[in-house]
Amino acid sequence: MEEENKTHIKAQKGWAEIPWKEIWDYRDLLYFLTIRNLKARYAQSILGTGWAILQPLLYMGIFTLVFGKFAQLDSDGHPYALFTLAAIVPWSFFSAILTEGSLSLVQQAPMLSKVYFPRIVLPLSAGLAKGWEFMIGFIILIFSTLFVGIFPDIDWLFFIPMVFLLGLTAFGLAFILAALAIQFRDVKYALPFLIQLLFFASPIVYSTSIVPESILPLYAFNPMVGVIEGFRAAFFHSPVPWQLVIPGVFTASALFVFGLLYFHRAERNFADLA
Amino acid sequence: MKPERAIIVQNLSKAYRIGSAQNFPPTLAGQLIDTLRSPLDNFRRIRSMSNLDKQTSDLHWALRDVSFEVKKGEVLGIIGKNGSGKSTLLKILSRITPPTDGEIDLYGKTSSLLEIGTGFHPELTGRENIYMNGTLLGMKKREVEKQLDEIIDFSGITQYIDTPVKFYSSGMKVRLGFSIAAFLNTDILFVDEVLAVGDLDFQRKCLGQMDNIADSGKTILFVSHDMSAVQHLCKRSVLLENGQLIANGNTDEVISKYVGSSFSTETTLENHPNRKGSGSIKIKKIEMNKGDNGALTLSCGEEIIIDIWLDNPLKDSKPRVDVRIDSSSGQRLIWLSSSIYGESPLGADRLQFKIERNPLTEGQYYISIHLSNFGEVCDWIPQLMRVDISAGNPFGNGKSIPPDQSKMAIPFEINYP
Repeated sequence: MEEENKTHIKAQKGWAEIPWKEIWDYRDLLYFLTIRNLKARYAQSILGTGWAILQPLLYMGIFTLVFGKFAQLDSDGHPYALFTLAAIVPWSFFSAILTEGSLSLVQQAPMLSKVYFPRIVLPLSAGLAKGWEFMIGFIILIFSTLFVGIFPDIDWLFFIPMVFLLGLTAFGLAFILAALAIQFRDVKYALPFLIQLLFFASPIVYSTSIVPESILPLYAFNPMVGVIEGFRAAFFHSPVPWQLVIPGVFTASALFVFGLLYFHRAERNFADLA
Repeated sequence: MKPERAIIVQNLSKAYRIGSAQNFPPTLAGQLIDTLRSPLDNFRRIRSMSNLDKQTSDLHWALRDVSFEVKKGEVLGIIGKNGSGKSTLLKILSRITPPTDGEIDLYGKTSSLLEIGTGFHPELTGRENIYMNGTLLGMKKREVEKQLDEIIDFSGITQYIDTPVKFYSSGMKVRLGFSIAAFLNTDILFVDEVLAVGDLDFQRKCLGQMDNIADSGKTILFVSHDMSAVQHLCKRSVLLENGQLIANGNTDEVISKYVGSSFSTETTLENHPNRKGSGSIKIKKIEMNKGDNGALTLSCGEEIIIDIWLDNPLKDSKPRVDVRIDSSSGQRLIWLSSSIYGESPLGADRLQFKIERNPLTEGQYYISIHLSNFGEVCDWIPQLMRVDISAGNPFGNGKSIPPDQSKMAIPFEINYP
């Protein structure tokens, strides 16, 4: 009992071990922060959750008009609207985790200098709260596929590892950017460009078939390529394009592990920099 | 039997890097070059904020080589002026910020009450914020649930508990915040200046709750400017000055060391640490009630005479003297100013204030004195002496004003017409 609650404080330098037990001890805080983020988001909004329904549909409409109709981009033989919706749903979740997670520390700066808690719960809860909108988008996607006569089967469950891959990538990046943003506010200004870049580096409005064969192996190191193609495979019952998924798994794992370690290394100085 | 130790602080130091001011070149060309060059400069500057390795001159030591121990169940007061390092010490102890050097061992579950109501979200109800804030302070959900009724009850805002906090008054937020923190289930608690908020009634309730926490065997580190609260709660105190621990012992002794070196009635003003002003005219001597030697004790209701001698070489001066009396918590209570009755005679070097009946009730008070001449501050000594006031006999019938009711006793009548 006595030993269990002993805390030793001293100056630390460099990389340090991730305090898993402590993060686990604060799981209730993670839960309430997530709930708080959710409730706060829709307070004083007329449409409320309606926005979560409207957003993917609006994007779908715009992309279908511009890229499907005007630009006549190929959609692998599927209806363009559905083709792009299957990418919009995971992409929106990814960009939301990245944005909210990266800015979470700066937004909660006063909290950092007043209370101690494992700082990682801030980007985690900011991202997890976006899971609600993802769920709504996901349901819309299911209904849309049902509408054109595609029914979920066992292949459909492939979306589960894809969401996991999405989470590793988004949180890994968000941890790094959140830790950087506390010290360098430039992150806030650079973030929209990064997301825009990743948007065009992922097959959201176009099919991977238009990507030149020569750069395809490199292209697939963007984990969102695998995630989106995996989502399409799950919903359209097409074979999983493993050559596009596997490279992303490496990138995602590396990002997540490095993100965790970097965040933990930087976190001790957050209160002094915020 | 030797009591166990709860906190061991060894050679603790904390350095901050003072941000150096940026230079703006005066010319347009210079500014253009600067704009191109500045990203690199900015990068170096911001990076260096967290780099404390180099021993350079722009390091500020907020704490330097501080060591002390606290026994289990002890309530330790931490006192010192603003900027002496008290808050930095608590921040390091509560792991908000890391030390630059030194070590701390804490035995037991710790929590801190540094600023109450941190993390409150205006859109959430009081009840939701209790969960939010409780878990933020390190409690588990079920621990919050167990204390929920007590917390709501103590806060005294039961009927608004399901109302969003944005509709609360600032007082209600403070009540709720303190109530959550006061029912924390921890062994060691760090408290920073929280009693200075809320109305008097609630402040007294908080102090009572602090008593309860202390009695329940918890170890408390208490930072406050309110000397009477420190005196009330802590047997032992430490005094910080410029980041160094300069006294550690009995609270009364530490407080008297804090408030000043000497409190005799005839204060020697030479080398007073807080003294400011041009010095063209100086206060030579100040005496209260003809200055009996020893501790200066006056009683409520008695006459007070303050004699002041000036060192005034200026024949054409009209010195103005203001005397202020503050409570031990720093509240300004009384202001006596020669300016109330017009200007002083030319070249005055002696004046006397007379208070017919001292209205101050039992407690400790601090005298500040301010001397000016045609708007020029000549001599200004904040908190130059302490006065202890006893209950006395202000109404002539043996009754006195309880000091926790009021700092002031004024003559009044009661009639039953």
